Amino acid sequence: MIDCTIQILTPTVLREPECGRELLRALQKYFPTHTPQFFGDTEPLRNHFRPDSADAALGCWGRQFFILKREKPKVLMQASFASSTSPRPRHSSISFFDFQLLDPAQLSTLTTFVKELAQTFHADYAMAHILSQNELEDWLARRLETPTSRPAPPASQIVDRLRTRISREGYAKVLWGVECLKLQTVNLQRCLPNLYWLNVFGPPYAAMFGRQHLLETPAASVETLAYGGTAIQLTNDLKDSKEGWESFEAVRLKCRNHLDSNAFCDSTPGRDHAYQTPTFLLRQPH
Amino acid sequence: MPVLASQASVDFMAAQNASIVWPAIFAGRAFQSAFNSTFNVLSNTTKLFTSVGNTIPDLYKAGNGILELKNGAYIYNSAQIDAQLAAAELEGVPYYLGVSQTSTVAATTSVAVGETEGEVFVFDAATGTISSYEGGEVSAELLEFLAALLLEE
Repeated sequence: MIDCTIQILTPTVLREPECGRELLRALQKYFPTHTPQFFGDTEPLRNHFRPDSADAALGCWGRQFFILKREKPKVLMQASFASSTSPRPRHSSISFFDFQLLDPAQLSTLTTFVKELAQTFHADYAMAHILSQNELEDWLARRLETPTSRPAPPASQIVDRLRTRISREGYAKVLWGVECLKLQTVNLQRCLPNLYWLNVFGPPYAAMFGRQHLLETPAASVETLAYGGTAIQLTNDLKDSKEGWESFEAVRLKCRNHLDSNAFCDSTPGRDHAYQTPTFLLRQPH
Repeated sequence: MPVLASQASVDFMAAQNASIVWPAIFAGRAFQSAFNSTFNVLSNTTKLFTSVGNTIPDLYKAGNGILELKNGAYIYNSAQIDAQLAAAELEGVPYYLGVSQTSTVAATTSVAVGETEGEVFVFDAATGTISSYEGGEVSAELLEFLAALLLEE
């Protein structure tokens, strides 16, 4: 099994049941092996999902959250619907926290699936990442070297707690938390946390980076999507080995430097540093 | 007066539930008291009304933020947390969720909290320290929120 994660941020309101239907249709089309077993709008999920009556499940689409879950291969997805009246506008999101692939041959299907979702929902930003144990070890080593100050505990205690979490929840969930949880409107309005295995930059990023500049990214694959997004796949795969991780990191750094290092979050310049950021036009009708 | 069989059964169930529920409630109150005395804040009494339910969060300052403390083993988007998230989004304030060292927080909850510009953090009642659930230091915004509660008293 290969643990992956997917995030789609859309400026559309997403509450119409048709949006849910399109999401389920795409999931069924590309991953019939990943049909959800449970659904609901709040946890614990008690409703059994039946593919032949998806409309029944969509009865709770659009309220606040819509959650789908299955085991073996694991799928845990949450659609979160942005409020149309909140003083703080944000993207609606489709997050597959855990999306297990059965084998490496499914990686190309994953990229097609994410590109189709980005196209369907005119994503401002979308990504898919392969969660690698080597990436987490790298992160923990850096965390250990970064000093903390009160009221935080010493870095060693934080790392110990995360190691306990890894033994309890698995490395994929912990890595997702430290690397991918930041992919939300408020953070993207400050800076881009990083590049991931697959990145889809929507029109606001095309305006920021320049479309031609995005297309010249030195990645394994760069493709323009019909709605104006650009899909950048950094490497053909990401093997969970030290060598696999290091070669991915080298490509990632090269691509970050090509795009614009001032667009990516960096701990060096301090809290008030002005990064290059896109302008999002939120609350668009679907 | 004879006790009806159904009534006796109800009493038994209540007693059984109490033996499970009350220790959890006491542990929750102790966790909250430890947090309040560490940061010198008072529990909130204001009820918040939303379309998905009404709720009294542990700490609240209008226009500033909502904070809930949970020391359970598994924290997920329960009806209470959903209502607090909805209240935060409606008011446009961050929602902070403080959990214990041994709590596991559902990914669905972590994302929902982040979308309000809030964060999930771990409070260690033994040392009086707080850190981000995901391993970093807590945000300056959370510390400012706690300072604002302190100033209110």
